[in-house]
Amino acid sequence: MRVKYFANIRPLTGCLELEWTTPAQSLRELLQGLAERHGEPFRRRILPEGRLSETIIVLVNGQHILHLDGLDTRLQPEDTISLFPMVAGG
Amino acid sequence: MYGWVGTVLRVNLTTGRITKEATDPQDAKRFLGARGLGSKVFSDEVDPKVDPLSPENKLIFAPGPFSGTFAPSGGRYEVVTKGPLTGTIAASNSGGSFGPEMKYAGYDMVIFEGKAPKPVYLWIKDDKVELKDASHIWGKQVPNTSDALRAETDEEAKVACIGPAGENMVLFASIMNDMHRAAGRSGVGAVMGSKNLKAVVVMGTGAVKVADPSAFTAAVMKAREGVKNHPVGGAGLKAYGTDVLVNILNETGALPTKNFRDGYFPTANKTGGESLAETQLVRPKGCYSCVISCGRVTRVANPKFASSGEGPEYEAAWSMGADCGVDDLDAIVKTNYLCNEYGLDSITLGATIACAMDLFEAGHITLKDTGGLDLHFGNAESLLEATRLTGQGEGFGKLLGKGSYRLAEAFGHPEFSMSVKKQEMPAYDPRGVQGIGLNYATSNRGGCHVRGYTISVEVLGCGAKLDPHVTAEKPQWVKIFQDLTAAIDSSGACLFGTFGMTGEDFAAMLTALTGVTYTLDDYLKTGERIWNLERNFNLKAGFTNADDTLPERLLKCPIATGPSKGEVNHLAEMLPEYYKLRGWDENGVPTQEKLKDLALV
Amino acid sequence: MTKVLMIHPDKCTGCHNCTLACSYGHESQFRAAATRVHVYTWEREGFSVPMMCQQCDEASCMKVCPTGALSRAKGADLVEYNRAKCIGCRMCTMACPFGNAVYDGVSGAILKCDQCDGSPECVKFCPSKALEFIDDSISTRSRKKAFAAKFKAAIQEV
Repeated sequence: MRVKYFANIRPLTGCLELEWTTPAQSLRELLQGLAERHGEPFRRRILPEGRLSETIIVLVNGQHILHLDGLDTRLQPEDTISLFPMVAGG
Repeated sequence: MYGWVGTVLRVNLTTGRITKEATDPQDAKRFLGARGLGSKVFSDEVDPKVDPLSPENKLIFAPGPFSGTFAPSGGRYEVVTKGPLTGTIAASNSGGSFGPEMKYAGYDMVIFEGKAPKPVYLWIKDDKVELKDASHIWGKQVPNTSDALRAETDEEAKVACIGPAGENMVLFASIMNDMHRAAGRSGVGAVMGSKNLKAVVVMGTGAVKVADPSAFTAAVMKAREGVKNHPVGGAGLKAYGTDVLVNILNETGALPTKNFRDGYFPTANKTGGESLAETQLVRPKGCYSCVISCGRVTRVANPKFASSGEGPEYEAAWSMGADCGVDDLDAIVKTNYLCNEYGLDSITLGATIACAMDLFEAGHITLKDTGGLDLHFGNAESLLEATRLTGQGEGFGKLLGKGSYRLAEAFGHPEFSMSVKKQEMPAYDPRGVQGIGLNYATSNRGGCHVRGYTISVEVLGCGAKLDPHVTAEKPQWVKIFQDLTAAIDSSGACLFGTFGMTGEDFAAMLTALTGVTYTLDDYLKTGERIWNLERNFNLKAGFTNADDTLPERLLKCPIATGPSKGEVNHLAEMLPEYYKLRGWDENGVPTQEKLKDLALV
Repeated sequence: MTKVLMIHPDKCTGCHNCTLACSYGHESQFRAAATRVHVYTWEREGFSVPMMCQQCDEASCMKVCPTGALSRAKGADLVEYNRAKCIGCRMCTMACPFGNAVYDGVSGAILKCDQCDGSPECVKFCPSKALEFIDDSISTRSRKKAFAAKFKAAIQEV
């Protein structure tokens, strides 16, 4: 799986993107795995108290997970997952 | 008066006569200020069929009630006229300190009429107002114009001016103030140029009075808290600027690429706000009374494009970037500087060059037409040179200066113009985000995102979280956003205040400031009234429901790659419902009943 | 311990919320010309610097004031302005090396920072923390430390 980070998520991970090869059935599993790897600041930002932060936007193949199955969204090895803080402008 | 300062200045450029009138309190109450009050006066006084570049067109500068107060990010002013790019009523707003200074000088509005026999500028110092010769400044770019005018008036004076683009009547020339802030869209700068008006210079020492000071402070403090605690208004925009949007729109598959041939740009990250913050950003900057600071003071070190200035915003970084297939951010930043210096709308400029590149690659224009300019997508040097030619009004730039529609039409292919009502659409692909397509199609100034920014709820999840790919519920959201935005614009506030402030916050501040009671419903209805006023003007100017549409490419050609692959815009599913919600007939004409309800008849 | 108004031009975004808050705090209306804090902006460079009375130890405004309208209470930091004693001679405006005492033609008074009786409005409204009201003894500590950090980085690079 390809995982991409943006804006102020990047300083928490030290990278723009990574290939995730550990099997993950759901988005929840993936994010927990990523939190293990990136450490506590990342976990606090993305999964405070085990729930998905309300100021994080997660896209799976460009679709907002709220329009999929949230943290229960099933993942496939060829999926792209993008993590953004809430951003706007115009 | 409270909030308003009570005087309208009228300047007849043909005769040189300058008069003062009282601000009409009833109109002010019903249309607020800035875009609303300006449009009310404009449509009362100007024939909708007027040629925009003729002396009969008028040009209005109008701050809003908030301008000059510490209502958060509330220091804007609006330029209202009939736009030469679109032929619609045009209202373009800008931040900085120019609008507040107009209020301190004592004016809710300055109305320019006629055409000066030779280049002039208006010098306003409180109640002393004079037209002065500008022959020696004519031809100068914006930074040099601003410095020269301050040198001969007052070193602290605020300057709004046109650059060479406005003088040459480039149809998308902007009016620049505070050197880097733009009333950008629809060609308001060309109207100024057509009147031989180079600049408005203002200094004021007066006050904006407040009806209920303690209530105003309380409402402002609450609104400020809202912004401070909002992830976007409070920190995101200051850190990355608006250009942070490049990546999320691209990842969503709605970043228009190569003149909307596609909706995904593989190397978009090189042009995003993160890259800008890392490489060119010097510091964030705020407009007058701003609590957000999305402005970017930037510098390009790369010797090839070395320069300094401000910006770009997301829209500019997109139009010159993904839309032209260019991923060299140094070149984009430099091109944006050129736009500010010549006084060009950075959205239409980039999108027009993108259209030219599309025509070039399709073989509809050749090196012979362009005077040797290689216009393949991705050519950063050509992007820069095309911008310079447009600003100078030289060679192929003369044609580019007419905007993408007239350019494409001249070569027999108007369908290559990605515009609505001849104004170029900005950086959100309506095939990947359905609601924004309806907003573009129905916007009263043609292709424009800041008339109804449904991106907030369709992509960014601010306020509500709607699926961008469905059409359901979109018409009602478009209407609410359009009405609320009209009211916010007319208050003199910045649209970005909505990243933290609510409609109730705006209404509460306006009530305490002016002493006129506005509930949220009143506030939205005021917005709706302004929207219908603009619509009526456009209908009388000759527009019909046939103009409420999108380029065929967006309705018929699916996005080729990326997350929104295969999508088109389904405008036809949304438009009838939108008309109905607006209380318009099936031809998009406001019913008598609706006009009565809004007290517009 | 006395407190001082500390200016951090590096954090200033040029938004003028301080000048708005200052004039409003003093007059309940927005008369920018009545502000006691001034923001100077260099448009080309996009750089802004807020300026206000420094409450100098050796306050020349106080020294030249012929009527004692500008004075300092024993042990206090603030140079106080007494409107009733002021004759409008403007000597203070000429004496201040920073230009931070200004004569206001509208009110006929001298405009200088009075620190809003210990709770400066400008500080409250600055969205960027470019203005701080802090203990005199620590006011320059952060600046020193920031410079020391640069120094440290430079040495570590060698």
